[in-house]
Amino acid sequence: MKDHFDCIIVGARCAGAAAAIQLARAGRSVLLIDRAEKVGQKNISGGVLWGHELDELVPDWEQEAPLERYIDNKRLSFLTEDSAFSIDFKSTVWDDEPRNGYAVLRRHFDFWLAAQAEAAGALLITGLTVRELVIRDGCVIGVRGVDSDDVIHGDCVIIADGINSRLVMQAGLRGPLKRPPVGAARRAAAREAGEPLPPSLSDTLDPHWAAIGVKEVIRLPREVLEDRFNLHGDAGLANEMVFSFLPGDIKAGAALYTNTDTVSLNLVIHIASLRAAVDCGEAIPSHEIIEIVKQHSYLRDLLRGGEVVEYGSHLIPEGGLRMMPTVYGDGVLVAGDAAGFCFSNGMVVQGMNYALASGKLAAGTVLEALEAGDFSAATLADYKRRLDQSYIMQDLRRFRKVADVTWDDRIHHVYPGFIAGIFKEMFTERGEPKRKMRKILRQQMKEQKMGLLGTAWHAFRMQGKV
Amino acid sequence: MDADAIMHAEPKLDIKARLGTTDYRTDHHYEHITVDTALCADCPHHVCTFACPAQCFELVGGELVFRYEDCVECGTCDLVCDQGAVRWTLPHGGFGVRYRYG
Repeated sequence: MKDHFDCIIVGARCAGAAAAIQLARAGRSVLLIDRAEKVGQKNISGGVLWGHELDELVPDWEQEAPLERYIDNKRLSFLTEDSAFSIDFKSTVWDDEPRNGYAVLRRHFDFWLAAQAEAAGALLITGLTVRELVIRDGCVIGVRGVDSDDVIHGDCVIIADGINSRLVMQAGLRGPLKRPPVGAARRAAAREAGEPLPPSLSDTLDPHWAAIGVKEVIRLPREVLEDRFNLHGDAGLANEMVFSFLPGDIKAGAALYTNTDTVSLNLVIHIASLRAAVDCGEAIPSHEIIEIVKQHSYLRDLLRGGEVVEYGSHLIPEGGLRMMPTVYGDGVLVAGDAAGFCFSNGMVVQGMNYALASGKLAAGTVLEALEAGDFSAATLADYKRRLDQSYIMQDLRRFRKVADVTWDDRIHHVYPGFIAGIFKEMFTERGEPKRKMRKILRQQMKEQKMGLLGTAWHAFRMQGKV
Repeated sequence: MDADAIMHAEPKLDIKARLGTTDYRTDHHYEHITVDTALCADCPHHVCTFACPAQCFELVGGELVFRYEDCVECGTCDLVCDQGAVRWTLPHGGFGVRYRYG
């Protein structure tokens, strides 16, 4: 193997592979490193790739990539203790090409994407965990693997190894926190005393900035799946859900995506509300929450007979701008989840498209830096300028308060019960005189302790954030 | 799977059964996460036992017990432990969880 590359990319996922394809295609020497034995084995996500970030990199990707189903049906469901109601939208516009989004399974999709990078001329090394960045005079000059002291040199390094990236922390690109937890101070003191402690997420991330993603892949025979979810051909459903019946007022939502003959069920747990439930002695473990929501009649009927074929988990970066590290330094760039590029408002949930887009922007910057032979932070700052002009940063800025809405108390614990209450009241026949809508509304508002003014004020505040 | 099986709701899956669906290559020589359980004795919340999706953290007779073998490398414990007890690193190349779907 060569011992010097134009660019070393850590993490063969969406961001890293996209950067590798672009750089290799421009004739640059690229080393793409992944810690999995086979690319994709470490990669897990909700499971829909939205948009068309791959068009320039792999023009025929919609024919060639291992895609599951394209999405032509979006549904937002609210599940209360005994009821469920949904807003369901289906459009034939989404049956036409270009398709809007595809369900994917990352083991297969990322494996294919990394193979595109190899075909373009990148060198792919798998089964190698990068221990650290090698920094000389403040500038990143390469990486070192866990099993060897040898340095692999590169003119620059793109960090694209996900939300758990230790390299971002090692390079000092994020943090420290304004109000560090007790543990961070303990660690700092121990390091001071010479103990070689590894960097920790809790030194640089507030737990409020991430959610716990818990996923099951559930197999159903293809005909059963298509009948049950009303699917034609390769079309599929993306169903977001809000649960308002969990013990201890734990806030959680989920996204269900139909694959070819499996379903991805992604539970998303709000960490602060789980912690609050712990403090009042009403918490239940994350792995039991997924079982509880699956026992709700809405999900039970959709998943009946399904066989769980895989269980997994992933932290979801939800902190937006607050958790974004400095995305460039001397000889280094950060892309994808490692930079916290993710969007969720409960209805629109995206990350892979941001990862691909940021990987491409990083590659564009590296190509210019290679041209100029200058890898200083001042030159690589061009990446931030490119990001600022892209929809990634514009989304993150415009919706910087969106998590307040996604995890709002009323949206989780009050409004779903209110609407379910109206429906139950309207549609239950008791052989009694029917009541006027106004009466039903008033009664439900009273039951949910919703004041008219408070509700109007809340709605006003919320609409400014979405 | 026949139609009859599909019509009948299956029993609940406990975490052991659920983890049984996940593929691992366990590194018997390197524990990528270790926990300083002496610090856990004074922890007021033990939120790790609720947050970890793989039940790697358990209170047994009031004492915290940690097991790395079932870890799916999500990073949750490192994020939620505010006591400084979790020492989190990545498994060595090729070891740890191996998603077949992802």
